[in-house]
Amino acid sequence: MRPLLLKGHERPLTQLKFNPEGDLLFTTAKDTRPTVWWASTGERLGTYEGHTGAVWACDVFWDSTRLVTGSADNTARLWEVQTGRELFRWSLRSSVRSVGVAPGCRLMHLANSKLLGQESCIHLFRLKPDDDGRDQEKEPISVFQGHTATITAAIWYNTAEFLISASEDGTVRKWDVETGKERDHAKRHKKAITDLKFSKDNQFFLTGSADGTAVLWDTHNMQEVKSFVLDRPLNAVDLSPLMPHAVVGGGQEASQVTTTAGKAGKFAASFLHLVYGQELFSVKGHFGPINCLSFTPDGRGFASGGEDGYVRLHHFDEEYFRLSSEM
Amino acid sequence: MSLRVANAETELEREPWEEADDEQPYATAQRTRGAQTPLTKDAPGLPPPQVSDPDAEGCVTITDYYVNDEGYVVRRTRRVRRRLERRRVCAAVAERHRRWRKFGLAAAGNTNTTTQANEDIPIEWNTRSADDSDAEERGEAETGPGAAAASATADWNTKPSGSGEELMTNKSIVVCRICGRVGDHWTLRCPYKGLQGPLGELGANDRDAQTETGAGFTGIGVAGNANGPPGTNGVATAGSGSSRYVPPSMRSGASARLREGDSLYGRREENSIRISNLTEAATEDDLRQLLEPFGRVVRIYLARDKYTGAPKGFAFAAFAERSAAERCIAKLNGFGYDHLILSVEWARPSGERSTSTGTAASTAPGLASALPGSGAGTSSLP
Repeated sequence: MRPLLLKGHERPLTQLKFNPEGDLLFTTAKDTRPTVWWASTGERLGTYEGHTGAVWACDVFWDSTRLVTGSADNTARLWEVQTGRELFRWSLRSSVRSVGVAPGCRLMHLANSKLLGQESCIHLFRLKPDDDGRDQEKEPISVFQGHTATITAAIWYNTAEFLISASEDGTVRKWDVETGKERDHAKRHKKAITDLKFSKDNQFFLTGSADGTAVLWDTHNMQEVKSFVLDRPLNAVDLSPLMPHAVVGGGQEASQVTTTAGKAGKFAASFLHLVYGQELFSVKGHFGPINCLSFTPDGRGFASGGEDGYVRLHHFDEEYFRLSSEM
Repeated sequence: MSLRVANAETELEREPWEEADDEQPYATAQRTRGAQTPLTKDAPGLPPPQVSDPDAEGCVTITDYYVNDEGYVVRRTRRVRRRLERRRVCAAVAERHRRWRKFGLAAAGNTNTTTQANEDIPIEWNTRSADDSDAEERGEAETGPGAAAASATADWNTKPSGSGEELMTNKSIVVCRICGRVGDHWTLRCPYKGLQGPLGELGANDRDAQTETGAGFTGIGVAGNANGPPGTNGVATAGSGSSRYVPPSMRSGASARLREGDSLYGRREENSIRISNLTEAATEDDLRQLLEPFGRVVRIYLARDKYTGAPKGFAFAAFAERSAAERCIAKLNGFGYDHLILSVEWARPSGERSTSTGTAASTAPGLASALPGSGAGTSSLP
């Protein structure tokens, strides 16, 4: 593999997001500039200028016309993807940690950090699908409260009936969108959950934790299906839409990187087989912990973003498909 | 809000770098060699950029001019290979690629600085568990290349020697360079072609000779035990009396070497050989396999084309020992390798090379003409 090295960010990456067709890659980092790239060539298409704090999360509309970003400047902003124009701004009382646009693009959630005396909640907003996009509601239609620590990730089920959130308190919770009540919750991780991703059909989701485990869950009964134990804290996970594979990444905490040998960091992205549970292979490259991972929507590549400020965009060789099918 | 993922597919044709004038995206970056030559200060107007026709390798040469920070007009010569990749995508994607223009920082910046594709990252397959990996490594050491070569040598010792003596009386001029038979077949038709056997045997014999003189490296272990009882060659003669690893500096003959000043790396220039008429399929590993029976190989350099990465048909190698290089030249010069006959000679020092690279230049067309203009770039503008 000859990965493309995308060097647009000056600070650690926080999230990667492909649009549904997989031709655009959105990246956010702790600098103030969300960036969009052509996924096929790795060319930088544009940057979204306006945030005044670290950008924690983003999500893109289904038709790739609008982008929502959430930042530590306590705002979430709506952008026109094509031009980089800011369309609207929502304000919360603390930094926005997670952003998700519901399937159908009529609803959106923003989750804030447990900071500045604020509890970490999920705020549900209505999105108005007008052409201009400037006319949006400033106030949330409901707020889901329950997590005792900062919510690090939240994802929408594909019917927009409920959403699932993961938190630094180690729990995952399922929220009913209609009533705003918590339907279910489960705790399996001993430390903070750092990432949460659905499988393509939404029947499973995978969580990764700083305690070095990744757990595959059944979406409907919230039971553990399988767990994977790795030798390092995990910052990012994703499930392949094409193969029964998961990719997990992390590494020792950034604050400890300079105190140990480079090899001890374990900054490789590891690919796990969901059925056999074993590690298939690893891909090296980052020289800091991996903060975010995402498969391309067709499953023929993946992108990783690291604490080192680089995004590495990989397109799998034929070898991956050949040897994976032999296994 | 309608979903624009249409079923109808349109063809997307896009040259990823057909952007603003000054930009040179990543796809071209690795194959580009820039030559920057200051011309005159305060030139009245910049000449228009010139684009040459594609050459044999499909590369075009772009010459353009710009004013640098110090106010000089600089001519920039770039060699760029353009590759048009056609891909079927859905209508919405094609529309985006056609219509969308860069914005924000991307509109101002140069793609070279933000996107790079330099290194090849291998997928590191995890095929075995931690427990059995040690056992497997040990097994490989026993049944590895050494044992394979030994068995090949054994075959070799029994087969041709039987009828070889009868044929010797023929006095034919047809001598097989591989197996040494006279009058039986041409080298090209040798049944042992492609086997490591003859080479392995030679390597072993020579090592026996060299342990007697105390000048050689021992313990390489290719075909070592095929020629006699243990203890007459290989590691055992190195003075340790066991199969334990003995560092080179501790072996017999090491002190003599040091007194001569024959350090491993200091004299590698003198022990360098040049191998030409190599097949394009040969890799560094193949060469190492070919050369290692003669002695310890310090360096292998396989010349490759700068743009295509294809081997150019010649290579340099350096042995730790001059005697090994001598043996290698004696044996491999004229040796059939793949479908070609190798030519092996002493490498000439780089100063002499300009007059002696006739074969190299003929196998590597286009290198000399790779950078038109860069040599003559000092002329000033009218």
